[in-house]
Formats: sequence, C-alpha cells, structure tokens
Amino acid sequence: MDLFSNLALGFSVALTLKNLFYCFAGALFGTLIGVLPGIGPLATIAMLLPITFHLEPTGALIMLAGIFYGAQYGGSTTAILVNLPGESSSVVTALDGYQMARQGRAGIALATAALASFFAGCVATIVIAVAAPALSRMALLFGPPEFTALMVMGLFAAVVLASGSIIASIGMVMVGMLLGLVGTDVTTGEQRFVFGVRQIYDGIDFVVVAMGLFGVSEIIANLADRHTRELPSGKITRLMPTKEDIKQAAPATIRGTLLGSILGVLPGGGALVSSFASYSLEKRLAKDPSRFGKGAIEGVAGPEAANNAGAQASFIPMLALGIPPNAVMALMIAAMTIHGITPGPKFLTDQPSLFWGMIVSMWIGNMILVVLNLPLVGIWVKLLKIPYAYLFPAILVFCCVGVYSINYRVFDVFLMAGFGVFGYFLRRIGCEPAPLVLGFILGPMVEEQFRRTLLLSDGDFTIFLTRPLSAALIGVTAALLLMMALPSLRKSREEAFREQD
Amino acid sequence: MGQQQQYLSGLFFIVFGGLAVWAGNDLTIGTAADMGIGYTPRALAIGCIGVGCLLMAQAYRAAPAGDGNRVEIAWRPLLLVTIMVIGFGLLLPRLGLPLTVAVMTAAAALSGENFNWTMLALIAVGMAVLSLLLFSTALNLQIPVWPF
Repeated sequence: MDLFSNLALGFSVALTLKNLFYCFAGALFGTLIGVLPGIGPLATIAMLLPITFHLEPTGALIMLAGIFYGAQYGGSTTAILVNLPGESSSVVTALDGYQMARQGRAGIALATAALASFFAGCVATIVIAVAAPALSRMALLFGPPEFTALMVMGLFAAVVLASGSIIASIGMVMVGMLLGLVGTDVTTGEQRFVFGVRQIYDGIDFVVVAMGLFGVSEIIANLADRHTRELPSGKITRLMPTKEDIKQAAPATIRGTLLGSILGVLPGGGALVSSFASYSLEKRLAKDPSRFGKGAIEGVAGPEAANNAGAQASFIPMLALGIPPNAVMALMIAAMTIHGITPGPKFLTDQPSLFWGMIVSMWIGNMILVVLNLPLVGIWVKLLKIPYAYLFPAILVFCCVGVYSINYRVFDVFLMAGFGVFGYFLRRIGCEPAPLVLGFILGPMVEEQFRRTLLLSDGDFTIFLTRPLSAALIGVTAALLLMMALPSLRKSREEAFREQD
Repeated sequence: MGQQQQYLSGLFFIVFGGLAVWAGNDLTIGTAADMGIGYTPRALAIGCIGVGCLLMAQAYRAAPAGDGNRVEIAWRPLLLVTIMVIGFGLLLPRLGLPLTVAVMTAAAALSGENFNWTMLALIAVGMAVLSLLLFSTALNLQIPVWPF
C-alpha cells in the first residue's frame, strides 16, 4: 500500500505541466544529441548539464534523467539505421538491427526497439520503486567498514564487467581516485596536489573531467577515424511489426527485461553488460541460432529491453546508497551535487517528492520516447546526413560553454582541453577512460570511509573480516578476482566482448 | 591490447604513480589508525606503479609479431581540437560569445573533413546567433556577449 501512495505522490509531482515539459525537453535533447555519431550517453549528459543549472532541483533531475534515456535511445536508432552504435550498449542492437534495415525492415526494427525499451522501462520503474527503499533501509545497517567493502567490490566488479584489459582498468580506477583526491581534504582542511593553482583548491570539477575525457577526446577520435559513414538508404515505410514478429519478439523482450533488471543493480552492471548477456541468451535459446546476425528480431528486442532495464536499474544503487555502479551514474551524482542533493540512504526519506517524482517521470519519459521517436525517425535520419565538419564545432561549442558556465571562468575550459588530450592518449594506449571517472567520484568517498574504519579499529585491518556483512562483501570481491584468474573464464569473458569489434 | 599498447600503458602507469609519490612526498603519511592526508595517495600511487610493472611484464611476454594494434596519433585533429578549445577560452573574454563561436566554427575548415565554404559560413553565423539566443537570452548564463 505504501508503494501506491508513494507512486501517487510521484505522479502528482511528475504530472505538473512544468515537469512534463522538462521531461519532454530532456528526452528530446537527449535523443537529438544521442543520435549524433560517436557521442555516448556520458558525453551527452555532460554536454547538456549546463542547461539544467538554472532549474529547480526537481525539474533539473527529471530533465537529466530524460536526457539519459533519450541518449540511450538515440544510440539504438543509429545502430539500426547506419550500423553505427551511438554508444557501446547498442553495439549488439547493430548486429541484427542493421541487417533488418538492409532487408527493408528498418521501420519494424525501430518500432521493436522502441516498444521493447518501453516495456522494459515500465518494469524497471516498478523495480526501482520497490528495491530502492528496501536497499536504503538495509544501508542504515552499514557502518564505515561495510561501505568501504561495498565500494571496493563495486570498483572491482566494474572493472571485470567492462571490456578491455582488467589490469589496465584497475590502474585507471586508481589514477581516477588519485585525481579525485586533488584539492582540500575534507577531514583535515589540508591541501593535496594543488601545486599552488588556486582554481583547484576545491578539487578538480567532475564535469570538466568527464567533458574532456568523453566529449573532447571523442571528437578527436572521430575526426581521426576517417572511415566513411554509411548513409541510411531507402525510405522507412512499414513501422508496425506483424503478428509473427510480435510472437518472436515478445518472449525475448520479457527475458531481456528480467536480465537487465537484475544485472543493472549489480555494481559495474548497467546497459552494456545487460545487452550482451541478453543477446547471448537469445542466441542460445533459439531453435535456429544461425538466424542471428542476419536480421533476427529477437536479437533486437531482447538486448534493447535488457539495456533499457539495465540502464534504469542502475539508478537503484546510485539513489539508495549514493554509490554509482557505473560512469554514467557517477555523472548523475555529480549533477545532483551541483543542485545541492546528496543521493544516499537519507535522500529517500528526506526528499520523498523529489525521489518519487523522478521515478514516475522515468516512466512518463519512456512513453514520450515512443511517441517522439517513431514519427520523428525521418528527422533523425536527416541529422545523420550532416557532414562532420559542420557538426563537430557545434558540439565543441556546447562542451566549452557548458564547462565555462559551471564557475564562469576560462580556467575550466583550459583544463578541459588538457583532459581531452589526456583522454585521447589514454584511448590510443588501450586504456578506456570510463573506470577512471568511476574512481574519480568514488576516490574521496572510499578514503573517508576507509579512514573512519581504521580509526574505529585502531589500525587493525582484520575489522573488514570480522564484521559479517563486510566479510561477505570482501568475499565476493575475492571470488570475482579469483574467477578472473581462471584461464577458462578469462577466455569466455574475452569472447563475450569480442562481438563488439 | 597490443604489445605496444601494453608497453606504453605500463610506462604511463609507472610514470603517473612515480609523479604521485613525488608530489605527495611532503604530505603526512601517518599510521593506519591515524591516517595523514598522504596515506591513501601513497597507497594508490604504489598501486599504479604495480599495475604499470604488471603491464610491462605482460608486454615482455607477449609475442611481438603480427601486432595489428600499433599506436598511432592523429596529430592534426588532436592539435586542431585542442587549439579550438583553448582558443574559445582565450577569445571569449575579449570577443564575447557570438564572435568566438563564429571563429570556432570557421576553424573547422582546417579539419580536413569535406565541407563547402558557403555552407560553413552560414553555419558559423547560424551558430553565433543560436548560441546567443540559447545561452545568453534563454538560459540567462552570465557570459560576455560583445567585445565592448
């Protein structure tokens, strides 16, 4: 019953005209930028962050969430139409979606993706509404050792579930944590690694880091990558799937949704892992696996449902514990902090209208996306035809103005240029910057909890093993690392990510 | 990761960790029970160096032949984009937003991508107007608008 009154509260907040408009605007802008090639959800949110600065917190959060799933959705559109996944979680969608488009079934593929995502979004919204309060109640039992253990587990899980070299990713997390510690230490008020630069006494701004590493360096990488883009060919005629299509797609959608809702909550989980897992599950369950990669509709429905459910479920640990399970959620935390909101166990009880309003607006946003995207597909296709020479300066302007407007100083713009170059070099040497961003946000939190833990135990490290909850979390972390040391598992992990290339 | 990438990333982590050790030299380390502000940074820096050494060792053991992942830097886009961003920072306080945006858009001509001068000029003007309307008028950001 509590759930219903909470949802009713959420509806009363989300259905005000102002908030509906923010939700709509967020979904629209998110899709608009997400459709542009080579810009993932992270860069999209970072770029559009400044337009939310001057809204009140509820409106800003609703809009940010809208931008997030809009961007997610825009990525699938490009994946299907031009075989160019706008972000890594729609890589799988491109496998069968693009083949469907080539067979003249682009409209059906887009509609399937939209409807599967919508279904998954509805389910995931309910999952968040049920799981987040439960999790935050549980979090009240957590002390510093548990939080430390949980965050360490999250960081390792994020590394294992991400693609690329595990060792290098662990390194990137530590680099991120070190960068996160720059500035004035909260506990002692002393300064670290500031080198006399006044502008970073309060730490390096997260938005600057994210925008440099993802916005600017992605533009450099796109310009360097000179392979010609394929243009969508032919007109999109038929949108509605046939009965036969629905019969094939529906079970895949349900399985994808379940998978995504579970995997999304896990640290390191989210859209990417969920869509990969769902694709391989569908392939395994199919009577004729050879159809996959040749335009199987289950290969679009399952992963699309999974990545949307996963993306939304990853809000759970972020909202309930204040711990971001992936880089996008780390950015959401940073955005909330700008508005003076600290996500965590207290967020739900202190600001119920904000929390429930946001949850309900997610559901509304998903509905808006379906309504918005299917009729507007023509416009997205036109957007894809804009030459990059005209597009990239516009994106850069957005990044620059965005970063400038955080503190109104050009120093941040220069710092972003530096992180752009840094991010480009990191990509070239095979180090993905996403774990760095996660480390950057979690670094100061881990340090604070770690410090408190050892103060509590008088320097005795066994406290992590003598408290049952923290011992369990450490155990899971150890098991994860051991699993990665097994050659057979390492191989299957490599294979799972190979379909990306 | 290719062998060359392993070498270079290994080197990067060792250098980064080394710098962090050096820069954190005058911070109080303290003890586990009473941590100074240098405790965590030092542990992380040592971790970085460790990761770097592991990657180096992997690169040493990896087969050097048939390495497709050669590390190449695309200098032109790297320099252009960096100059554009720094240019924005330098020009904004002097020229104001619309002119800075116009200059920045025009600079895309140097990217080596296909473009058409008339179109680019139109887009430069369009972006200048749009940025003025969106950021300054609609969002009311406190950004310098004109050079005077």
